[in-house]
Amino acid sequence: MNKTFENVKAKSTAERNYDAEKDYIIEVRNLNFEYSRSDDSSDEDNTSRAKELSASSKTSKSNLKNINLSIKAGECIILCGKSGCGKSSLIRLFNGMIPSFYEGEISGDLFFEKKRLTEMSMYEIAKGIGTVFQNPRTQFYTVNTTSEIAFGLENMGFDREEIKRRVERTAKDLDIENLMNRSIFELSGGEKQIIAFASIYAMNPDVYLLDEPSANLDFFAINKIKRILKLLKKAGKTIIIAEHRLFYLAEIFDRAIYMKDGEINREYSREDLKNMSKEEHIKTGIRMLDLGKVELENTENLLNKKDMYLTYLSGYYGKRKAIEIDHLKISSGKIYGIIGHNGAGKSTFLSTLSGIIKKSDGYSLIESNVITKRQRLKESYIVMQEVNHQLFMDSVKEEVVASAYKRDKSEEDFKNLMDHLDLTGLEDRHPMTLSGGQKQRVIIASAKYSNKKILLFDEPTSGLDYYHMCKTASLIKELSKEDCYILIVTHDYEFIANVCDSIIRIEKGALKENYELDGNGFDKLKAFFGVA
Amino acid sequence: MNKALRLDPRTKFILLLGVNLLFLVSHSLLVEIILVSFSLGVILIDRKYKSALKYLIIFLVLLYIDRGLSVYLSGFYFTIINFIAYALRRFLPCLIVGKWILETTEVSDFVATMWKLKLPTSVIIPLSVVFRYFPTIKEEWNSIRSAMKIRGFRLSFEHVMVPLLFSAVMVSEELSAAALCRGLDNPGKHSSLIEIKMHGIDYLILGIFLIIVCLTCTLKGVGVIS
Repeated sequence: MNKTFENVKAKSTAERNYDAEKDYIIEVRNLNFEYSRSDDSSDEDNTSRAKELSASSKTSKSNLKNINLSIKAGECIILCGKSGCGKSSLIRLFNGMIPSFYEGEISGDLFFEKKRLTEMSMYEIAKGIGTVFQNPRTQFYTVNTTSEIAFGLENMGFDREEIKRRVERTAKDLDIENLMNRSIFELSGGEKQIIAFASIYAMNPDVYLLDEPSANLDFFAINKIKRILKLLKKAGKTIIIAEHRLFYLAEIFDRAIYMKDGEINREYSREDLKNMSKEEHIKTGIRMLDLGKVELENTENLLNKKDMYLTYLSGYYGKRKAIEIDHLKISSGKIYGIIGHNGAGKSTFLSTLSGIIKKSDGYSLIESNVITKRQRLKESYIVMQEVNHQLFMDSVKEEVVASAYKRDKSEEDFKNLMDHLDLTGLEDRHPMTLSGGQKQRVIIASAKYSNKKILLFDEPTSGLDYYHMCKTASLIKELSKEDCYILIVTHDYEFIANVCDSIIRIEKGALKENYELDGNGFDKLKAFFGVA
Repeated sequence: MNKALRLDPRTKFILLLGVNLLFLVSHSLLVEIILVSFSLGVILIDRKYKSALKYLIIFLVLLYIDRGLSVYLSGFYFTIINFIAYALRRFLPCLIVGKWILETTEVSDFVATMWKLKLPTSVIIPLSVVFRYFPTIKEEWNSIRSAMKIRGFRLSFEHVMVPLLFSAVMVSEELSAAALCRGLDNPGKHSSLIEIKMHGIDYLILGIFLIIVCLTCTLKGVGVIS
């Protein structure tokens, strides 16, 4: 079997031959998988809703169809495609979570080093295949970095001395000696993700599976991950990585597998990805490989602007002043991108501006009227990164309508709003059963329904593919036409170029610079992100 | 690293179980005072001076409500308050020991102990996930509170529970997945980086506790206390 890649539907699209003599570390042949569904025979309203909920809690569930894939030892493969295309399912298949953890109907063959992977138990697989997950918050089994790195080794039953030796070596290789023996709750998202890498590295598997490791990370943390990946590649490890953002993998990957509707649709080489047109990016959802090719697309509204002025606005964490903005003018109708290094105080700025922070100081004016912290709280809305924490009600309609700050709105207004945000037909659904993008839109709808004027976004595009990123961008552009103050904390360079009119850079708890995103500003932005 | 005392998790759990049983056995105030002093002693050895003082004050206040105020006050509401104070006071030793265990036991120690006790995997995995989830609740809680504030919702049980339950389901699922992918289900030998071993201090504390148990049982048997 020397065809590494074949697809019944589109056989002609991509066929590459590898050396037939070469051993494949992972081979998948004619594999199909279907998640088992909880049977919905009973039509009682309560139980079906409960089932709907429990089904949705198991994050994404895309079935796999007719997968054929052979991976050589030492290769780095990207699995890409829009959300829900099945790339996570494929990762789950490789690490044994399918069928051990997620049950379902499986057919076809899957080999790892000539052994049937589907017949191995998870701890056997864990010796050869390690997984780094997407969410740095929830992949720590212990609460201390050192014991986290030791965790896998302990499960394998290594001697204490060997565990010590390996943990020390891991810390040295990955240059994380300063992170050892710390509580994981003190670490930033990026540091957590590096510890997650370290805990796998210590077990020294042959294959590394990565499920969107950059989704929750900032640009600088991503660069650290890139360094680790280079190290692994040099050590001859096989790397399989499901990812939307490709720029940091440009020097590392060998080929990219594009998935669609649970099938392998085609394969891209580095050249293919480099020469991809914008339309194709939108169609496939694949992010840019070369960020140097990203162009400015912001279109500022020149409608009747109002200005908001902040003077010496400061926010405290306990007694520590976490942020102070001495002077800043924010105009309605413009979209502001807030950038800065991790821990610079960007999120604190949002909570200070919105008035949810306990202790804050300073003044804010809209036009020439002073607005107090309480008024700001009334006028503002934060769309948080963790959308699930912001949904409280039983149905989309209630979620949108319920608010302590009620304004006069008619049924007609509600309908228009739902239509505007592409939510028509979902009014009676439980918000938790919606997709991530829909949840985000429901939250925005509830903000609009209560006439909020200051709309704040915290990383709205983390983990989004190109298509959905563009959708979020055009939605925010749409919102900016309505006399709102819009500020977005983001690390997403492509998104900033697409949507922001002005950049606010915060460093070390203070305003570092504020510039318009024109030709000059774009150069500054490029320098900040290190884009050539 | 070894700034605090590292008791064997087994000692901790024997203490928790023992304190619970003992307070069921006897209703006497004497035993209660001994138990409170004992648990305060344990956390004092572990240098938790602040919480020890806090618990001591709580205990004295609750004791005063029961024994002091009840002389002067009566009536329906006071009876209820008194009952709550009494129940809380009775539970105090368990609370002290329980909270101390949660604070001082690393999940990995806990898991290592369970492997050492040769418990089945089906017990170890869910228990350790639950144990691990506690510290996460605080993070989730803060985030949910901010979201409620921005919506202008008052603190209510329902509003907190819906997102919290969902995050609990999600977090526990992802945690178990991450653990299984690092071989938690290995039926063979598990080792641990930190040695789980009974030290002198473990035996000392257990010894003292044994004396308390014997004393209580004897006194109860003789009929000196109820």
